[in-house]
Amino acid sequence: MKVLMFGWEFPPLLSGGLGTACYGLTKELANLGVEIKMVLPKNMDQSHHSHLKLIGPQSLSVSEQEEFEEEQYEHISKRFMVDTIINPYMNEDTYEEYMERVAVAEKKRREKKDSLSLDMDLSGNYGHNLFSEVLRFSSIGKVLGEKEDFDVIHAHDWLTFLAGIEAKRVSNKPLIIHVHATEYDRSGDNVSQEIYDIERYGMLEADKIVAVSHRTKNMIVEKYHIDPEKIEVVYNGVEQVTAVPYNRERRPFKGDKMVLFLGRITHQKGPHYFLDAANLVLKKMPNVRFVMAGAGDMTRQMIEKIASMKLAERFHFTGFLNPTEREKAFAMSDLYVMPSVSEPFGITPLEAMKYNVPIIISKQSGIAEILHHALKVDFWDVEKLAAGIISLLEDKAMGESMGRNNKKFLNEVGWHVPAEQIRRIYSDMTN
Amino acid sequence: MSKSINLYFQMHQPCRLNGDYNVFCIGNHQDYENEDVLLQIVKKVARRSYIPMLKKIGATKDKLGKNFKVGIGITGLALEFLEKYSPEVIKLLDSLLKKDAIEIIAETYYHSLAFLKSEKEFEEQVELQAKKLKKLFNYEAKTFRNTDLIYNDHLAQKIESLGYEVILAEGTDMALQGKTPNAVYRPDAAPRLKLLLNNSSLADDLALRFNAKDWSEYPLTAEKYWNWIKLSLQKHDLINLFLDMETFGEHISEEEGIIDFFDKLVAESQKETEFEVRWVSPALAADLHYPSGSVKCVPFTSWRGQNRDLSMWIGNPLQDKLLDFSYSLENLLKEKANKKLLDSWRKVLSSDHYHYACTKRFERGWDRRFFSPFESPYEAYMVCINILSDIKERAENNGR
Repeated sequence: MKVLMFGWEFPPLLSGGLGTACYGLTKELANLGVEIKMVLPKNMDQSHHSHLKLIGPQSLSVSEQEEFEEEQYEHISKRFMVDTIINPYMNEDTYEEYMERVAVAEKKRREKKDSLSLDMDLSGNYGHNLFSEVLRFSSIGKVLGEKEDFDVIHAHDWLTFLAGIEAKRVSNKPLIIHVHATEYDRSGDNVSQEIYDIERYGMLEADKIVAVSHRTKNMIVEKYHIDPEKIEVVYNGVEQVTAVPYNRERRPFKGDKMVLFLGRITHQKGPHYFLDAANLVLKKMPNVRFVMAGAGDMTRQMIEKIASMKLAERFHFTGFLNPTEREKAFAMSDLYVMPSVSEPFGITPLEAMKYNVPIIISKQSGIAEILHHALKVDFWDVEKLAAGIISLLEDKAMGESMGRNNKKFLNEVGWHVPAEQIRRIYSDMTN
Repeated sequence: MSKSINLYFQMHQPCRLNGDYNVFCIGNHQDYENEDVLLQIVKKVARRSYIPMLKKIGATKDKLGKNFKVGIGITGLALEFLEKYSPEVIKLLDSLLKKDAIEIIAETYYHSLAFLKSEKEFEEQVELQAKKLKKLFNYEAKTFRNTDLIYNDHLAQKIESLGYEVILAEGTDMALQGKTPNAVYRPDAAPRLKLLLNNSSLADDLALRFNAKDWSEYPLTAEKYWNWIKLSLQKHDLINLFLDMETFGEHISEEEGIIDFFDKLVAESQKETEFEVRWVSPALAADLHYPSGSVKCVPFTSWRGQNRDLSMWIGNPLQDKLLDFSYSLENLLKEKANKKLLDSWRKVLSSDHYHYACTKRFERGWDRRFFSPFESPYEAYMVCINILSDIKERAENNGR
């Protein structure tokens, strides 16, 4: 079985759910004997490979590699790095910011006379807005669809859908689109019509849609009016990595309990509900510290609100955490809270579990469908969230039970489970 | 000599705790229960199961006369709630007693696990149940069954000392040690008592498998089931079938044919030509059949869970802590609490709430009779702990 996959760069280069999911899934698919040809959007300002061969249509430079320096790509049979600046968390506004950054990077490269740099100014090739860039990226689908040998096409999230469709058009091979998040998850009610249109177009053109939860499946049916028969739910897995050792004796806030929020500080992740709950908790239980780890467009608003609620002493912001700091944050915590307003899957609770940290998640998350040993609350039910925080901090029995059972759970939800399902979908589609 | 089928039905309703009773409620209010939910459930179960089944029992008695009598186990709580929300059931029970169609079986008033934690509380609850039966029906029970058939030698001794004549238990391998459940025994530790053991396999065919479409014997007809019973009765004189009454009409709906099945089964038994068949209650079974040996059972057994032990109610950190905390309040409450507060505490003691805190429910092969009104064992645990904390606080403040 050969797959042409339009995916995303693996961690640590790309942190966040999509890169992690692409990595975990492809690795186990390769173990099952699936040959993966991976197409990855890659910023030129990150690329330093001397052995790459450039192919591709006009205005799109692509490097093709069959041998990798990076360990995490070893299971991929061929990689096509496409020079584009799209990334999975992008919207129209952030695209503009990236464009500016790329221009700066390009200028630097030319000054350094990097061995890789071409004679032309690459930044000039990028689309003038996100959609023209997505369209430009999609032309790689046509090129590879004609040139490469594969049995099935697999595209992850909307930015790659058009490329997948192009590949299907020229190859006549089945297209599977994998929905990790919809525009409704990312933007709430501020849905971008253009993104919605591309998502729906991908869903209509696809031969099969993979959704990361029933929540996501329902969203695809209700908001995109897609036949539920075409959609299959495949839950994400979790990578079987051991916890980083951490000496809890040495943690700060001695004598105080620590409650962690970790994620982008954006409306979707519900940081404001976390804050309101903290306020209630502190009225009843003063020896608690609340840590908000991550960055995002609501950070400033959160800081101001905390100041006005006079909670600054009990509230800590860490900013964006690198992978090591992230592990440490989980290890230090007494409780992890994910109060997301909308979360197609939500992988962070699984990270908290590695450290035996008890968990409260919102019912509006896909992972709530498979996570049994956690408290689940509606994101808006601040009192219930606060009560849950107090109960879990005051009472060890619940945390013990969660820890014990979640350890078992982690062993059962490796990426081999979704990989098996995906491989079966590949065979169904090609037979 | 005629052959006997000893059939006994369990009836129980726990109080429905208020799922919103969180830590902020402690010291604030005493809305421990959700009466609306209780009312709806009691009315529904009465309509779908209790009333049609009790009527069926009455009609069968009218037809079969002395050849028909069954056992009914009913908790004090269930009686209390039925009096309030479905008095027709109480009237039916009364009329069935009058025509000698049923034997009522004693147990703890609150369907509690008290025997595991406090013999004093256990005896008080058995006494409360006895008083309730006396008051409602002027009835004195001879047979005892502990909550969910939880049983061991030690319990047998206690029940013997309380003056009961017959005790019921699950026919576990632990108790039977290769012997047949289709007989009357004496507990090794309590030789004056008679012990009847559930034929788990035949009982489970109805309770767990009757409507399981993936079961190789599906659909189970009365003819087929009668043949299985007959195979046993050819070798033995007695079969004990202990069932939750809710199996008939509630867990398995009338539309799935379970109530009709009961009728047809009785009819099959009366068509039998090889031997005469009597439907008997536990005390009658113990009278009619001579004990065929003694049974020793040191560890606790029950009719729940894959291993028929205590693992539905104890063993995980939540359940153990909940159980310890519950009974740690006993002395304080008996000393200081008023009647209402004591009753609130005892309502939490119902085994159901410890069952809801069971974390095994997510495992494969889980007992499909399991039902919990709580979203997770953690919710169940928190609500119970919070209610108990409030009860404790109030008792400490002299029952206010």
